[in-house]
Amino acid sequence: MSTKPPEARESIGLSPKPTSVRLSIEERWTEVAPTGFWLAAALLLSVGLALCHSPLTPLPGVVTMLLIPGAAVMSALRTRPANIPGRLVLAVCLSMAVIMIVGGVASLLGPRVGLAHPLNVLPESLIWAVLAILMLALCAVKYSDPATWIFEGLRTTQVYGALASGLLVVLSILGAAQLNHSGNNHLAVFATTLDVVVLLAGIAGGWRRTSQWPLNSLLYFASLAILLSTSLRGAHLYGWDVQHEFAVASTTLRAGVWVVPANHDAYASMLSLTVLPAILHSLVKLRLLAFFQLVVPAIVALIPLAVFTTIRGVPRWITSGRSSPRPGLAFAVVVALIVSSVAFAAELTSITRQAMALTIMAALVLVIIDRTISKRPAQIVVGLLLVTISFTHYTTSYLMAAILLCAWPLSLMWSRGMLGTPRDKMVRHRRDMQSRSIISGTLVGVALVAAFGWNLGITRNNALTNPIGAVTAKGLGFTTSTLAKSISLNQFERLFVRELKITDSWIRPVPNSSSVHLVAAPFLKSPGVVPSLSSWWDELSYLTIESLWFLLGIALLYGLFRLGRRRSYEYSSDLVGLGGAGLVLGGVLRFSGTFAAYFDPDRAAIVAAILLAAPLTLFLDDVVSSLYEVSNLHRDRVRRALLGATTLVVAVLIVGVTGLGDLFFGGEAPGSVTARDVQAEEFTVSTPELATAMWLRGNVKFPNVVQTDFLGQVILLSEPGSYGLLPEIVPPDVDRGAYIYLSTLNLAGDLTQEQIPEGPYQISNRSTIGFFNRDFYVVYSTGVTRVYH
Amino acid sequence: MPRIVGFNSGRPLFALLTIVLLFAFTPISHVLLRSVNGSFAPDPYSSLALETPTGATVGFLAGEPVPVQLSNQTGHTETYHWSATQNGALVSLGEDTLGSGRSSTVLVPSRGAVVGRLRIALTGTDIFVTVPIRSS
Repeated sequence: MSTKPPEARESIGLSPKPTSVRLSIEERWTEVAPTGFWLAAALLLSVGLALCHSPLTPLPGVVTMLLIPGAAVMSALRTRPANIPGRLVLAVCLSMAVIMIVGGVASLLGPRVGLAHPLNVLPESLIWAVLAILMLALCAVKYSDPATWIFEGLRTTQVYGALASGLLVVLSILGAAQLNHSGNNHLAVFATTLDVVVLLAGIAGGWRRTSQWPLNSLLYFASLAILLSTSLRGAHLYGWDVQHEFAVASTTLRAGVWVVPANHDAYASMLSLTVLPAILHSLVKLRLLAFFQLVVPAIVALIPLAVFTTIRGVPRWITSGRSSPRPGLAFAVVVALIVSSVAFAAELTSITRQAMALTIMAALVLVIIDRTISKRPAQIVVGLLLVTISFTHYTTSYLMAAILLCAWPLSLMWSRGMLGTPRDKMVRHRRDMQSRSIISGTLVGVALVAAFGWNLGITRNNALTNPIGAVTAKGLGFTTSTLAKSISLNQFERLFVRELKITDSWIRPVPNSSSVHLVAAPFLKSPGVVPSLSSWWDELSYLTIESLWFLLGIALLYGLFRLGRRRSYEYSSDLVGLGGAGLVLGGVLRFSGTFAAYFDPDRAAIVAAILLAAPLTLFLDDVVSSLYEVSNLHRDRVRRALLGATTLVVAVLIVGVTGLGDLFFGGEAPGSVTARDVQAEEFTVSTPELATAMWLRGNVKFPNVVQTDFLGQVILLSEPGSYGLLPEIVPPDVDRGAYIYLSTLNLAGDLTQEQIPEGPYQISNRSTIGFFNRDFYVVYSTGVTRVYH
Repeated sequence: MPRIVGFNSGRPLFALLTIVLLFAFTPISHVLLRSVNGSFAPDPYSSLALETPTGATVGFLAGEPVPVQLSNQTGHTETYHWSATQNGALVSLGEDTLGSGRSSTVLVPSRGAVVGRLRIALTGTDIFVTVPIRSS
């Protein structure tokens, strides 16, 4: 890129390089003054806020740490996406990469040179001070300022648009605070409704190709508001996996060093859960809880932004006969596929390792498709991101290796005309335009080495053990159900006792416990305003979600067989490879009952969505344009009909996923909009529950065992002790020497949930408190929680 | 339209706005949270625990004091009234005042208790522990 003439550099968004051969030292340092000023301002602001005891003390530091290192990498490589949102996404992902690599290296080398706790405040401050000076020096030599590199061209309207959109986030935070404190969901419902309205309005506002709506700001902040309404629920973290992630992060923080886990724990092998929060804590005083509740959602909200940036432009290789898609249409695709996916709204804030990995993956796809990034820097950045994914989330790294392994031969077949594409035209086109295909054998190699090297070679973690064992034993299980099944309580009890006699034969039951039988209890649900339409709504939501898969398949086939065959310059090998791989992998994970036990199909759907969003947008944009052309006389009427239909489909999806549909038609609404339904009860943790978990950690030691119901274990994962944990309290299977933890749901809600280990059967029953009162003693109590022994 | 290119134009106003928002955040957030009756503060609670959990399996001799740990996390100083009962009959009672965030060990007298289950509870709450009483 540096060999291009100044005019050419400017045309692709680069600042003109000075023509003088030798630059003075002063000139070079002046060039990096904005970044120097940024660092000094962040430091001063942090000190000032700390002196005021402001809760925002870590904010300047966090923003700096998540932008500047990545910006420096981009600046050093002299590469960047075409527009500012894309640059921000890539800067954050590369910053995460830099932080994790620096922390990982410090942890591995530190103890060998006498630095026992390299992640503590002093060593980290020194390391990053030195790195900051080196970075500035390097950028001065390169005559490229990192901050300017990513913010160049920023308009004041964009800044104020972002500030105004930030009101959505403020409302969402206040809604969560109200729901937490009083159980009143009025503001939470209003904030969520506003997010939905804003997202739908964005479709209409951006429908014309010339639209100037601040769609990037609206998309990012509405997405962030939706994520925060979930992540801020309760007095601790909301959700399941995130509790274990918190425990892992907290252990690293206390140790001041990351070590390869001796027990091969996959969570503890991830630098995203260990080194990243530990360094942010040491450097900028970011509390661990704030990392999971605020910083991770802020990172995850970049996923829709990354995909939107990716699909708004014309992909690389496609050069002729196509204008960029309607912004509103691209916006609708992103809202439908990403923001409205079950995984995004309800799960990703609770599975932060995957959430961060998916953000990096979205940035990776952005780099592959962005036509303004040259081939070689793009491949370097993609390689770097692939390596980063390997220590961010094990499953995503295996998935990326599989995706590229599948995408590469597909793209090769496409390029060589083996998919029915006219090879001679493509060769001519490639020669004319210079080949821009990014996916290569080298990148496939990097993906494989990174995934298997880190997870099986270096950390030897156990992430693959169970899925491989299950696939070996059961096959892919395409005919098995992925849903939890309901059976009668009698059947459940018999099955449960039989199962546990095999798996936990050490249990010494309490005498006469088999005479205590379970009594069924319904799951807590919202009654709804028009419950009579509940089944109709469920069916409509289900059909709309499933029809997206159909649409994705059609879009890929359209690209392959219509665009590719007739006008090869309108499609590309990378789109074919990524799209094909996404559809195959998404399909396998969506329909495999075996994999579903280890990798939620909803989370697989979002992976497929990231890969297929560009082909889908190309397809829909062509459909819209064709309909306009066909009905030239009734253009306005067609426009209104298309816009209405698109908005309606997206509305069904987003209303369903945010829980507004459950509140209106009746159902199990998520904790973000209610304090009463089963999901809120399941995943919201109160302070007394956290205190009980901490008491158990401090007072119950190995070889003692703690038993609790299936949901009671949620908080125990956050504060794990040396004790054994058995997540069931069906009376005949309660050990007489065990400690029994009863949660608020068990006591105040009089509700217990049980699940057969590794099985699809789940029941809800009345709590058997009488049994515990009779046969055990209460050793700890907060009024809303209890521990029996 | 003014442009922020390299942070030159528009910088002073933006910087000023950022600084004002950052430093005014604490009072503004307090006002906003109060106005919607919302809070992210920890839920207040009190707890009662056996000093030694294994006491529930070993038991206590009748007449032997039962050590329990009382903890106050209510956010304010609290005077606790506790009572030890057996089958509804009062065995002993007392009170203890604790500052917020403080814990103390209370030795609950069990003189007069008989073999069976002794319930030690904080009056007016559902907070209690139970221990087995053995014959002396």
